[in-house]
Amino acid sequence: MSTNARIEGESTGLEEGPRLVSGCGLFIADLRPPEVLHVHLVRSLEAHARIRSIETPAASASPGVVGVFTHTELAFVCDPLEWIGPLPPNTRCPPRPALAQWEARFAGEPLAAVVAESVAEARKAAEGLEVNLEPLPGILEPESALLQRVPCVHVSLGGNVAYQFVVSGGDTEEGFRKADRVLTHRIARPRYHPAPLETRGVVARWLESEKRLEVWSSTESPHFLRAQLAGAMRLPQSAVRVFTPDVGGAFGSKLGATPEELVVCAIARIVAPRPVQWIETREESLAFSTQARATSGELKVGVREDGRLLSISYDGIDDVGAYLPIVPGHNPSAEGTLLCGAYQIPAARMAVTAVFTNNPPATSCHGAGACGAGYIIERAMDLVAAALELDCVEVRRLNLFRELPATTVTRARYDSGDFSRLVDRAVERSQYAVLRHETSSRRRKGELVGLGVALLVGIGAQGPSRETGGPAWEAATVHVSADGSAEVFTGGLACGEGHETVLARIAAHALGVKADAVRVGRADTQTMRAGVGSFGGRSIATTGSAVLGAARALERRLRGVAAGILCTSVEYVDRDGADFVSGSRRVSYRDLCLLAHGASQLEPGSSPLLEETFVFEPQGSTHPISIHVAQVVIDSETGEVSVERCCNVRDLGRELDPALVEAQVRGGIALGIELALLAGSPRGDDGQPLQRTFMERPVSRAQGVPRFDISSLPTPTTLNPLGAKGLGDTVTMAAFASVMNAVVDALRPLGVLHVDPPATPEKIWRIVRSCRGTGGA
Amino acid sequence: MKYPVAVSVNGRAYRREVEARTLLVDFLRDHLGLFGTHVGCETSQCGACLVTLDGLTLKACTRLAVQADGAQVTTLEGLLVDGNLHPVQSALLKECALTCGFCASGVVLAAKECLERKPVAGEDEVRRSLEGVFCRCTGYQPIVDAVRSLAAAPVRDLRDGATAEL
Ligand code: FES
Ligand code: FES
Repeated sequence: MSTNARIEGESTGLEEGPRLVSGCGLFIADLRPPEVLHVHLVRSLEAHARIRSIETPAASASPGVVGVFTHTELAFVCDPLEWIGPLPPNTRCPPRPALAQWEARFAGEPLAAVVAESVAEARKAAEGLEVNLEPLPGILEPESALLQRVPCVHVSLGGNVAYQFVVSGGDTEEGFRKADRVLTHRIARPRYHPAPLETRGVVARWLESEKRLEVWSSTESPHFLRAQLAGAMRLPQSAVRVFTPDVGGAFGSKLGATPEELVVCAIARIVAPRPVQWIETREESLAFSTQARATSGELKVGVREDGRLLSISYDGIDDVGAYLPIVPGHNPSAEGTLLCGAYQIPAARMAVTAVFTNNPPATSCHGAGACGAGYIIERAMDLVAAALELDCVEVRRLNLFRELPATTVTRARYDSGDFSRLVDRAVERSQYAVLRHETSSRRRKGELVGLGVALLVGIGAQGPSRETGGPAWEAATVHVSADGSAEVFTGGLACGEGHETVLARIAAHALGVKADAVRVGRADTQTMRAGVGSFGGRSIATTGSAVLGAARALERRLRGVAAGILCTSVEYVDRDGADFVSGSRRVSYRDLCLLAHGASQLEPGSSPLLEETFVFEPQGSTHPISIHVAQVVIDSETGEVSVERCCNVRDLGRELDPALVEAQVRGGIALGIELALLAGSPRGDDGQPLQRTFMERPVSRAQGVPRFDISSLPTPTTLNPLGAKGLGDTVTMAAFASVMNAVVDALRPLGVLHVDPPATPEKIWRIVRSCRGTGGA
Repeated sequence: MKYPVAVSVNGRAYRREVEARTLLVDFLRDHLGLFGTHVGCETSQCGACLVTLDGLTLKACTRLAVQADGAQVTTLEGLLVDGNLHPVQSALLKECALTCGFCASGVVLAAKECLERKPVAGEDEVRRSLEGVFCRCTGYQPIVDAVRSLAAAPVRDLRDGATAEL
């Protein structure tokens, strides 16, 4: 068996690696179907406005222009995007038009599309478009969305609430009464765009003779996109085919269906047979596309003098922007179940009201989703430590769940792991005691140094579907051809995470063949007819389990065929390498596949098609865990925060390809640091974006991050046969929360108890100045 | 008004007519069909459009195609010799320094330039040389490690890996 694929262990690197590293990747902007037309979108310059008129004649007459489209023209071929299927409880999702009809609801909403022979000509023509907008008062601050007599972002809803959820367990009020101290603090996180290096893009073509729409999109969820587009284009799903080319990063920003994708499809139908392409500009990406939602609220913790938490509550407002993004797996209350984090707290309550505003639509990216609660609880732990003058690791240790499995009071079930061991390992690897000591002595010399810890419990693969509010399953098909080569098709394919490699290895292992005998098909809704997507932490845990199931079933079938050929019964068939043997008789894997396809050797009634499909539905959500220790130093002259040390210990369950996991962990840490120190997507008082290029949107750079010390203490989960918990945003959020905690720790000597992210130089400089100015340390 | 441009890209001569405002990166992609050079920002920040022009590594979104007239350009695709990866490319793969791979054009060329300029660069120097390229997926460390793993390799190998015919 030694020549066959192993399911885990040494990394073979990315299967797609050589292709990508030599510039042979095929990203959406690299697709150039012949005769392709280019779309340029004209967007609202106002955050909220009535559309008086859009005059198109001048633009239409511009050289190279094939057409100029507004809502009126597109209405002949498409309807607005709408939520398909049951909405999660207490949720309202107004339809989202391809192009705004009467009203523009955020600065950047698409109003018109100019289609031309080249991007340059489309852009030039757009300058001739006369858009007449009447500005209306808008809602830019989420808090004001809930006031009386304020404008409604969607008049038809008669209010600005998008959704609400309350997750609670135990009696929080009693907990606060019994507590020796009750601490409260307002905490907030800004909206931001995660800024993958590749922007979004879409190509569509209408085949009139077949009445079929072909779509290529840089998406995380091809099947979901197909369903949405088919619905809006008034087509059966079987008439829409979505392909995914290489995706240059996504981080939650390429999920679901967007108006731009619909605009391109609608135009493709009108200008058929010519294909149509739209590639998002960096400005459109940073300023106008779906962002991570902002959230703010009141945190309240009840604690005993000895450091035991009795009760925690968080009452918050989320800003989802002008439309609720139509994404799969929309399950905001999952966040609430994680409010207790790794801690045994008798009572907890999280109540969130999400409101519509005249800001760009916002969804779960990184920590805006399931891990948001992780940040809240980890800030709470540090507030408690500061108030009781306890060490922040001690407070955490005191409150940890001693043993898993355990269920929190908010009904999150942690099936496996060992929090105490993770804390011990992180303390040991980071040399926490030494760092503490060093911190104090540097402080005495006047340096602003801080140490921060965060223990994050995230959500990897969610499940089961009846609880998550959306499909939690994934499907995979494994097909073996007559020559023995195998193909894997799945709806949950990689978006630049290297999953092709791992999925191929899983299938090869189960089939008993070498990994290079298996190819993973590109995401294509026609070859894989049903699927959910690659997002959150589900890819390996859920998709990998589906691949494993399909490959195992197929291997059983092959054994059955072998039994027939070897004139024995199936339980006497063994494998020797790839071959099938029974006693001294043997049939090679290749011969077997050939014979099976020839059908001559098959039992009557059995299929010559060597193919199995398997659907895996997780029976619970996996909870990856990550603990992060960060040390920062603040330059009191400039306010600049530098991260000096990062140490991360993780339990992501079984890691099938540690090298790939480590690459993602390191990337996650760098992003976490960026979220803490740099990322925010500020808008002016008039709702105009202040970040349009990477000159205004700072990102993590090679010199801005230290070396990361990372290690793993895995405990396999029982929730899927691979034992993988997935990664999700757990590591990112652990790094983020620990850096924020470290920043506050550095400012503690000045009397600071909390700082909201991002800890930009300007913000920190102001804090330092105002504290010192008023006679602080 | 169109202007003639004659360039040698990856050792092959091309002649095209372009608008004066055509950027070098668009020229490579749209006119020559070389898609290995990416566009990540259009404002000279991200480095996804790095190419080598007459031995100088630069951002192709900051140059006009007409400025490349008569020049020798090397793009990411041009680093392959007889289908073999350049040592820098192999080192990056070995360290798992690419995830989505969109940044490869920037990372590979910046790494190669760093090694050519300073064959035994220390951690800080390598990081400094990567200042102009963004990678959103890997946290840079594996890239730095890949470059450093080559630090001891003879300079000639690195140069010749790319342009053996010169
Ligand atoms: S596209 Fe040239 S630097 Fe980003
Ligand atoms: S690997 Fe995705 S940007 Fe570098």
